[in-house]
Amino acid sequence: MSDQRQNHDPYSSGQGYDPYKLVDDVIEVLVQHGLSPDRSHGSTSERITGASMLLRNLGVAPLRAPEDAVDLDGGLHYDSRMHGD
Amino acid sequence: MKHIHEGKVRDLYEDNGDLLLVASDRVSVYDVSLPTPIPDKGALLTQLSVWWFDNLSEVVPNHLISATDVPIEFGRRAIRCKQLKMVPVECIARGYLAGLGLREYQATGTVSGVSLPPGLVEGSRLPEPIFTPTTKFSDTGHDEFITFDDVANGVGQETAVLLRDLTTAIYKRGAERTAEAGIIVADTKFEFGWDADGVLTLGDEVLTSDSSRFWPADEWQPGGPQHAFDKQFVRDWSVSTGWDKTPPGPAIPDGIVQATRERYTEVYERITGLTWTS
Repeated sequence: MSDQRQNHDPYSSGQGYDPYKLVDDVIEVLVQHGLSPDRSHGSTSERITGASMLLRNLGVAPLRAPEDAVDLDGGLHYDSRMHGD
Repeated sequence: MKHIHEGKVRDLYEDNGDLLLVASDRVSVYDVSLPTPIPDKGALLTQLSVWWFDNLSEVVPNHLISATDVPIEFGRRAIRCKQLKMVPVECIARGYLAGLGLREYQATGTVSGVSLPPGLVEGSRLPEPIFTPTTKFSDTGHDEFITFDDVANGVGQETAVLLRDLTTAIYKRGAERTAEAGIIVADTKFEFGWDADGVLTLGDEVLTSDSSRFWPADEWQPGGPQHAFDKQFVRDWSVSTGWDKTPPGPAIPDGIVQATRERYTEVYERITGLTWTS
């Protein structure tokens, strides 16, 4: 199974960017153009999926830094998201 | 050694190109870190992850470099890890129906786009473990389950298949082991990333009570809420104090601290079969 995982890395070109940051960047650009983007429209998942698709179609991998991806808060977000705690 | 990030419960350092994941004894409930530590909690959860990394190594490569080559002041609370390029998807496996998954099932008959048979109730075991990914966080404050197709659109079909297959494979292997210890893994989450060789690799922690919902098997009774094995104890106590779930959290009395520590220790010992020594 390990061998199958080899060379599946679509990001070996070395270009990667955080899709969450891309959404922030786009919002900033839109504001600079006098618009008022509002995160209450649509959903986080649609924005992140869309940003990831855009990155991939520009040859850039959607990736996150460990400090942004790893849960350092003791499962709070997990508990909240999974169990409504 | 550079301190990269401090979380409510764990800290992240960079050291000679590696990452150091350092767990504290802090405990947090309802999004609030309580002022009283639980002795050994950080070491117990770290060492449980280390045990899992070793015992799951045939299923998935992991980011662990060393559990001993860490600064002495961190003791058994730290691991040295590879730096991974993290996949922007939180990979969740569910073996049982609970929490927000139950609500989605009751509304749609599905969870994250996976159709489930009719007649399931709260706490029901699912016919097969399912992959129910989510975004890392929601900036709308609403629940954000996503489907396999969403993941495929975001990270590509091949990667999505790998994430799904690895997630369910790890869950199955882990749940088999905990079942022998009388513990049900209701659900659990994994973080994956690409290592320097382009191998999809398991990161973060694995099958701990901070990344999973454990239920005692001998108390499992489908048809109502189940009680989590360890953290539920602090959670129930905090609610009983009349605390409004906003900061600052209440100090935990000695009896609750000791009882909670015993729960964490029991989970470690039952799963690993090892005896914990402070």
